Amino acid sequence: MKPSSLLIGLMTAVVLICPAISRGETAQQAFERGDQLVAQSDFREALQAHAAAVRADRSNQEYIQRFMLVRQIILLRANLDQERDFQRWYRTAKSLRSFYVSEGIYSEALLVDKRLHAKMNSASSAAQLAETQLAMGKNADAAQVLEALGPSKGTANTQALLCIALAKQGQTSEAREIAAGIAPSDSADTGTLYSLARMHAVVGNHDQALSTLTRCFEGVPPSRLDDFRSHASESPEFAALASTDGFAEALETKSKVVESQCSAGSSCSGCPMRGQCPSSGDGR
Amino acid sequence: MKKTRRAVQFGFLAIVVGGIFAVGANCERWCPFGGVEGVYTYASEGNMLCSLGVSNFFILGGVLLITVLLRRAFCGYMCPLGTISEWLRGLARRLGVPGLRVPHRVDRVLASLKYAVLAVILVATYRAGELIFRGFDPCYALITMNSPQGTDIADITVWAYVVAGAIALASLVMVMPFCRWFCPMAAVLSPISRFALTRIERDAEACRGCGQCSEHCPTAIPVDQLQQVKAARCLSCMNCVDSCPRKGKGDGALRWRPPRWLGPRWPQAALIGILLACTTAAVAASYLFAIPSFVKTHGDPPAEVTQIRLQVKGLTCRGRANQFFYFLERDDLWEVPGYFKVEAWPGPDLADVIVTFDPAATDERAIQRAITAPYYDAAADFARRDSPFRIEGYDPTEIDIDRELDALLQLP
Repeated sequence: MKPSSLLIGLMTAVVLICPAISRGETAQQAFERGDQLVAQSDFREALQAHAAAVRADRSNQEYIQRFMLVRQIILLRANLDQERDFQRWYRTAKSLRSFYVSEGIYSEALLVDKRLHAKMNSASSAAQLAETQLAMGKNADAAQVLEALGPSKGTANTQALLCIALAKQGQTSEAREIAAGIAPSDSADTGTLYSLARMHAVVGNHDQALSTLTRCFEGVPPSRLDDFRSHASESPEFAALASTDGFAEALETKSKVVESQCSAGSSCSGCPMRGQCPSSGDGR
Repeated sequence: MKKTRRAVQFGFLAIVVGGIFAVGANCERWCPFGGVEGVYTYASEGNMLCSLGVSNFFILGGVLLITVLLRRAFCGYMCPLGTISEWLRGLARRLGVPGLRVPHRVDRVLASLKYAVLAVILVATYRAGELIFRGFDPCYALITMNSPQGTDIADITVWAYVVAGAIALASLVMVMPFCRWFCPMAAVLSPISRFALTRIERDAEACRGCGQCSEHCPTAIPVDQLQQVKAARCLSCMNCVDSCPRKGKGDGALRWRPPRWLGPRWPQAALIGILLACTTAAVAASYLFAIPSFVKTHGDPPAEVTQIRLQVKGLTCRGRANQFFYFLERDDLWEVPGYFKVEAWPGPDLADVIVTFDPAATDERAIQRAITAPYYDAAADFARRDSPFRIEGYDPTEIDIDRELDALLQLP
């Protein structure tokens, strides 16, 4: 190797390594700093931190995905304000909301939910907004949103959330009255069943809460069951039940949904398990 | 011939074991039975199952040609499972373990089981669209080293080892029991083998009727009672010829020969030559005609297209290739507009991929970004799908976010 080439190589290495050294950061530290900045909604700085993590360890797929995600979020946030096509705007809003909720950034999720509900004004948009408000402790606001739907638009899910919102405000008798009037249909989806289980838990119908939770878990696909279990374990609505054997038993409920371990051929792209097909492990 | 056959068996076994443990090759792509399992899906969709490749068809073609010429010589000379099974019996014999002779009628009934095994595997595989029996397959357990494509996710079931153990135990007291009775590949080859060109011919006048030939036949063919050995289960192993006391005396009582229109007799070296020639041709063809094992197209091709060649980490099987295509078909901000086609060779390490696209609608960076960026899936309630793919030489951090924002805000 020529001395000049060696010198250029060394200088390049120094230029690349210096920022990390000056900050004294490993890839993991940069990654964690990036996540802290994401939690503070400082996405531009978070992007720089995640870029540093990727540059420090280019083989780490998690770092790359996190960097790409934050980059995408910055663009989605900008797009939300300027997109004129409703379908595209809706996709952007829902993607952003999904990100904020998964990161626990409820203040940002609330802003998106309000805009979504203003445009949609449907039971599902109201339920989504109310869920975020409940997560932020804004129980009165949640109740107001759900009551505004009126009986014509209300669903078992929104009624259950209203019941939770009222119970959390201490309006127990009203909450019990609502709870007594809701019976899940045989075809109720798992989201509704989960809300109903939470509702029964907050009004003190513990047996019904556990049986509904069990029924919910039986209908959740195996690939999503852990998410539900984890949410239920941390949910304040189940706090009174958390130490009981019945709750532990309900958490152990096995899914009755048959879900292939493989993408099963030509329909791989539509398979919810595709990230876990044999030979993967890192995709979702 | 016995020593030569052992050397050939050892050579093929060494190639397989060396390929797996030393080179880390994706040996699943070189299994002829993979070609049998993959033919329906390839014919109907143009894609290979799981991590199989078009190379499986070339190898299958080579093995079929060998069978047309040499009966089930593939089983007797090349198949690692056959070699191990046969050697286990040889070892047990030396240790004084007595052999178990299965009555002829029972043998015939058991031999028909392999067709049932083949039917069950093919129907189940075609219906599922994946190699659903590989978790039970001792060969798969071996070639993936218990962990498919080098990951820590094992889809091998305990049954793979139960099957392997049962084969090994049975092989100690019987010659090649799995190959004779249960092997689905043998079920594919046997009907062809019945009409193969070469055969053992017995000269009834020279034969003393000592029965040594039948005694030494690993598949229990009653050679001493036949004029010509046309049995489908003949491995062309030449044990009968070698064991004949008349060997080397005149023309001998047993001869290996082609049909009369191809000459009076062939040297046994021709058998080895045919085996090696067919195998080499099949391997060479799979490299010379590198046909992708996954092809999928989006949209109608424009007048002018361009291609990008990528080396992708994480594209290990057909499921992953579909997932790769799914990321290109995204309909969010990083949508790839216009026509594109993916041709891929999924594999355990870096997979080769060619993406053909419309240069008027998109560019290389947009394609690389679409493949590697996470995606919020509207079909799954906007659940996030992280990309499992990494493109060799693509640095996603080489971006200017302000320029990207400017470009986004200028969009109509």
